[in-house]
Amino acid sequence: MIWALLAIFFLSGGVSGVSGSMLTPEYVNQVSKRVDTLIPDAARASAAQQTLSELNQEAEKFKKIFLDSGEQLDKAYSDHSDDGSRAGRILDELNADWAVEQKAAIDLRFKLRESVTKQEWTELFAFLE
Amino acid sequence: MIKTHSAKCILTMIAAACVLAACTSQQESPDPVAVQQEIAANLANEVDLVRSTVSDADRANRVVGLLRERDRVISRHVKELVTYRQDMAILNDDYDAKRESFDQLLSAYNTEREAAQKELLGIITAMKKQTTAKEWQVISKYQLKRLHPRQNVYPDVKGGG
Repeated sequence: MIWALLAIFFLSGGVSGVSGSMLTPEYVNQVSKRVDTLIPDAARASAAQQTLSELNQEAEKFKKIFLDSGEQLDKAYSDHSDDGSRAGRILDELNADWAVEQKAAIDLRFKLRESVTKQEWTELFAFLE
Repeated sequence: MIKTHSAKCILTMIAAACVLAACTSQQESPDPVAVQQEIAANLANEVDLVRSTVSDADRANRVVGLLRERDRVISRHVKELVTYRQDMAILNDDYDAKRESFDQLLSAYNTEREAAQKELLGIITAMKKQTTAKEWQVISKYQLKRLHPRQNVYPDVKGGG
């Protein structure tokens, strides 16, 4: 059952898989690989890579938090005496951490936009179509 | 008949979500049909396990009912998730999208997601109340081994947040 709780978190853009969230390290890496070929201007490409590097750090940070919480949730789930309060606390903390992660990712999305033209932006994310 | 059909739809949805998950979570793509069959079998075995583990038939029925309630919550959330991820992808693609639009989308989705989490926590707690510590040990062990997110849930859907 805990899989369902985690699924709801996981499916929401947690750790792996291809997503448009820019929150997963895998996703950030895919975008990063395209930057140098799509952005001809070296200075802008460098700025974009720097932003993506920051984004990757955010994604990695939350990945660790998420994985650590999984072990705690497993224990709470198995614990027959837990009436949901322990698991609830873990999820509350995870939700709060995720909110911080989301905000940071959106901030960085707009920072990335500053070094990418409209046409480049379209091409940069077209690989997910 | 309708109930049976509905249950099959829910099972299919959950299995489909898990298959999508498994496809992107492993370096070598598994056979989606085989994975779907395995997940469906695990969900069916879960019911059998509950019936054979919980000593009292009435309590076992109540736990099985709770499993089905869990599946309904999950299937509902999967639909909302897919919509959310699509909306997020569209928004992210829009070079001129406003910050407020992201905040609104995330806020609405977070509210729904956290509500679903609370619903599931309630279902879990109800299942624990219907079982003894020993029975729950057997059931939860199976669930964590056979229906765990680390093996099952990584969606391959464009979008997300």
